Amino acid sequence: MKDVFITRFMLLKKNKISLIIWLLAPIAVTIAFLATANTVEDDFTVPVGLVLEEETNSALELYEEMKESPLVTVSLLSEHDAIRQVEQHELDSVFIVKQGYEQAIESGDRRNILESYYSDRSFAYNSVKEMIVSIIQQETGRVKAANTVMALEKELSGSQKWSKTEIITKSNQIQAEEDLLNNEFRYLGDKFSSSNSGIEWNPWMIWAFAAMLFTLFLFDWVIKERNAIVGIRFYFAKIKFSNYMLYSLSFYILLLFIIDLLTAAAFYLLYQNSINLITLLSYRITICLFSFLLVCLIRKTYVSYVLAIALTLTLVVLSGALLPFGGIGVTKEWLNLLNPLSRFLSGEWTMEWLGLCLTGVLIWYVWEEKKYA
Amino acid sequence: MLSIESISKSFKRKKIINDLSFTAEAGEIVGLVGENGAGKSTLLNILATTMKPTAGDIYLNESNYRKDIKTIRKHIGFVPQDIAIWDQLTVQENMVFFEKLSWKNRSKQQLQEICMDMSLDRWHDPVKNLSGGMKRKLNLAISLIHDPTVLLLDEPTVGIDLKSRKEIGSYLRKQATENGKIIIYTSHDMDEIKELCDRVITIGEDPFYTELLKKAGKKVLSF
Repeated sequence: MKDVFITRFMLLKKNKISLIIWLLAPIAVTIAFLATANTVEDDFTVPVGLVLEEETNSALELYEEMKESPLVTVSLLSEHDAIRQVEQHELDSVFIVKQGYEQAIESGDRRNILESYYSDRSFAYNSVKEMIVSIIQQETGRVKAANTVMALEKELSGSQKWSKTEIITKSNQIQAEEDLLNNEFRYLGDKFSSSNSGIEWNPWMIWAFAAMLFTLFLFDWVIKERNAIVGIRFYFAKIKFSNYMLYSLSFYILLLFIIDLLTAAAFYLLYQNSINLITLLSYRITICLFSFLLVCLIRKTYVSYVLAIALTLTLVVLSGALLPFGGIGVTKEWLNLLNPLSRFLSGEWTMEWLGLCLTGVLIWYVWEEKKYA
Repeated sequence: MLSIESISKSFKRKKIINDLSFTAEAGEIVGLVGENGAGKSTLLNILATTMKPTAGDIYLNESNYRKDIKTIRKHIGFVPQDIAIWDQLTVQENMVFFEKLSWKNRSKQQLQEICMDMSLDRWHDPVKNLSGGMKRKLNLAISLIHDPTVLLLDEPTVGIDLKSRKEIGSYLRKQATENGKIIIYTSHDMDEIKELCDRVITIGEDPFYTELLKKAGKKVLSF
């Protein structure tokens, strides 16, 4: 095996640039994709100005609530600056919280408490307005509920133990604890919160697609060496061609897994995202064996590249990344069984695919042995 | 001694080689000639174990080709007609590459000596920069790394200049006489065959080659 590794290294040294590109492409693509996705997400927030004529708790709460929305970027400004920026289309719209806002909320009066400015290019004005109205409605509703509780308490017990602030604080606490939209859900084994903090991309999902594609690209060596005239020399060598190919395959698996370990460390540092190394190893072996078997069936390298792209796109679609499958009657279990990525992303061994690929390699080996006998 | 006993080879129903027998002794260079498609390369491939005969037996010393294929292959050096070397590697790297996969361990100095014996002196040059003649020499040198008993050459001098042809010829003669190798050689160049081979086997129905070689005073065996 040592001799095969030495000869393999001699060949790889001559293609080091393309080798480095294919080895580092999955991690580079993942990091680039996530950076782009975050930038695009930031660019798609609506810039909105907020002017506070009074700095009461209710006014500041409105500001805080607006800031929590992933869809808007709120800037606290003076009226003059805010209107100027709308005129210059730097802001989509401006909302002025009028003097007496808190008092109006306390008294349940929702009329004439806000003033707004927008331009002919304010495409998101109506949506932002609706969002602010719903926040104010929630606040007035909470105050109204507090008033009702206090009235009931006085009427039923004759005393006043709860203050309005306490009731509102308790109401906020109950909302935070029981808000279904803030519960934790699981998607393909990856836990994430459904709070309004934007889209959470799993770097391993992006990496899994990229690793599949670039492993297939990298495995063009199988086609090149099967077609090479030097193949005839293996009849007279101490290592049979089939063994040479299997040792070379092991070499590639080892090399790629070392890069995978570096990727895992990088993802942990960059995204605080860890992965089970056994899962990673089983996925790596599976895609290497699969790539090896697939390219063994192909004689032209360009066919393998086209097939690699087509296969990866199919897996992206099967994973539901492009098309939702809910409405077309295809069961998710069936798709997950077909898709080797789903097990990997669930943090499990890719047992079925690994077993299938190992059987395939065994069949290939027996067939090759017969050819060289 | 290489002993070929009544071998035949058919592809589907077409008989390419029919009941061919001959022996080749150590130190002997045997030429194989015949028109295109007569079966020279097929016979060479059968002798090299990359193809099986339909009938007949072949023995190398006491070893039978059917029973001891692994042992036989250790003693065969095959020089294919197409140049079977890595273009992206240098001469040295090619020699080291195939030495690593060879039955016999050789030092870099020994590998370089094999090349130098054939005047292949561009040790550090990438193969892609070599002339056709140099590539042919390397093609031959690689086949000699494991010091084979039998050397089978399929048109090893095709498309190369006269000087390189002479160098390869004198190297083969040296291998046969000094190292006792059995060399079986195919070529379309009759001058080369007449000059180099101790004995010639003609294959095919056309008597052209047989008559030509007999006129030149060569020992000819026709099939």
